Amino acid sequence: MLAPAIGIVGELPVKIAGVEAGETRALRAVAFAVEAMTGETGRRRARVAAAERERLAGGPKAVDMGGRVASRDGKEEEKGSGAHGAGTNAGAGWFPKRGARGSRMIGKRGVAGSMLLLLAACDPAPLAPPRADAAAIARGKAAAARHGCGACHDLPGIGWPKGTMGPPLHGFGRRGLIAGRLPNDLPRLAAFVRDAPSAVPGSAMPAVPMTRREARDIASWLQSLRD
Amino acid sequence: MTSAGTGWPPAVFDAAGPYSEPVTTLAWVLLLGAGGVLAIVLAALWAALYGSAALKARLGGERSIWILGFGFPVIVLTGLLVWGLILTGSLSAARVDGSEMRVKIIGEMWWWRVHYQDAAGRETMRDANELHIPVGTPVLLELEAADVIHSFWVPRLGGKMDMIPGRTNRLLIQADKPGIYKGQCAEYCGGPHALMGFVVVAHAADDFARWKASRLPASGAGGRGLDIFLSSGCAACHTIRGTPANGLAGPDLTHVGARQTLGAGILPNNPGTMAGWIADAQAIKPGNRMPAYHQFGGDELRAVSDYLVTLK
Repeated sequence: MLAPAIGIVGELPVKIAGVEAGETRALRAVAFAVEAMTGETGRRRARVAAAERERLAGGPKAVDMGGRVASRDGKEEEKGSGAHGAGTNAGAGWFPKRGARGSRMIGKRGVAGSMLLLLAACDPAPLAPPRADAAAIARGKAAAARHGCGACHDLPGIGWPKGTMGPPLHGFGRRGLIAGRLPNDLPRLAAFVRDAPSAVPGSAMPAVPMTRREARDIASWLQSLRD
Repeated sequence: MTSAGTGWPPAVFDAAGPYSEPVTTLAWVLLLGAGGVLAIVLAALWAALYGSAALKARLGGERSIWILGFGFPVIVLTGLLVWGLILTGSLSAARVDGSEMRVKIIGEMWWWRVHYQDAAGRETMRDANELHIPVGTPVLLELEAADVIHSFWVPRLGGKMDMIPGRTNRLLIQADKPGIYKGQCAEYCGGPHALMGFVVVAHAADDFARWKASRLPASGAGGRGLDIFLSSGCAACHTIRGTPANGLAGPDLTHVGARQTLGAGILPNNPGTMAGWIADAQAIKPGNRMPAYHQFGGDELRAVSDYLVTLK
């Protein structure tokens, strides 16, 4: 049962190399892809996690992962342990520099290893809430740019404008409340995006003319922002 | 929203009227010609480095230097100059016949005053940052500058013309199809120069007549939004015809709600961007002349922005 997951992991280095600038985000997206494709995530992740914990604890036993990630390289384990301790956001340190040890294979193994570490690192924390589909998120970002939300808000991935009148919306998906008042769930966020003064009387944010679907897309995008 | 140069094809290769077509032709010829000359130079370089001894000798001979080094550039550059002048001669605003629509546009740091004129050159209406024209009609622009040199450029409709303090430069533009055409200040004019955009809206003939008929002064019944506008100093810089607001330093806001953009071609125009611009224009367009209005509470800010977007 583990083999397909490893098979997916084995293909990761190319994809990861392609998105070097946003390593943390790339790692996340990949982790979810694995989750979606393997189905019985809980059990499988628990098994991977258990195996990795043993390895991280410095046990002498090589972990057999279909022969692909049986890394016992001391340096990489140290890096891995550090990343594990720091949580899921310490993406950058997980990648051995390409060619650092003169071999592409080591690079691959390192990346595959870090994927597993990511899964292991996720284990104790609750799962991230389910996210809207990627198309809605992309549409939402485009709509936010089109309506000029940046006139008041600093928005991730939108270079200009970065208005200061409203709060910056980085990591909005992890925020508990909308405007300090309403629970941050999708229906309420969509309603607020479209007609803030009705949702939170007295808010300086005006009702912005847009369709309900646009509002929902923007809300989906905002809730997908994790950092 | 900011740039005339986004999207494909680039605006300069996408002429939309008779005064931009020659520019597009010229751009293509220059681009392909430069590519051809580059190829010849690279071929000569290759021959000089790796060619046979006989080829090198011929390339370094006096005859080659006269032909390639002197004759070729003289013929090509002279030909280009003469052809370019003939081609772009049709753009000259000296050839006006009085049937053109006339508009005076004054560049300021960092926006544009737009004064519509009648055939005799008398001002008929004021607006800012946006020009409405009928399709298929040449428009004669009288371009001036109030402070430093700006340059007026709507690539799909015409050539580029500098706006120089103390001078009036004339430029013809025309759109053959209805649509929205973006422009951009094309001469560095200080801090937010890159955020000094412009919009031309071309209407079909009857739409244009309708648009013109809709340009009435504001009703004056602005309610709380207008009261706050008048009591907060906005009227010191902005005019709203039909109300006591008659400031001249900033853009005329009589029809601000009907504009395609805010902040001179840079933001979409809706109650949200309007509120954001009023509250902190400095964060959006750093250095522009409009101060941030942080003193408004949430509902006051919304009252003003909701009022302004109704000024169609």
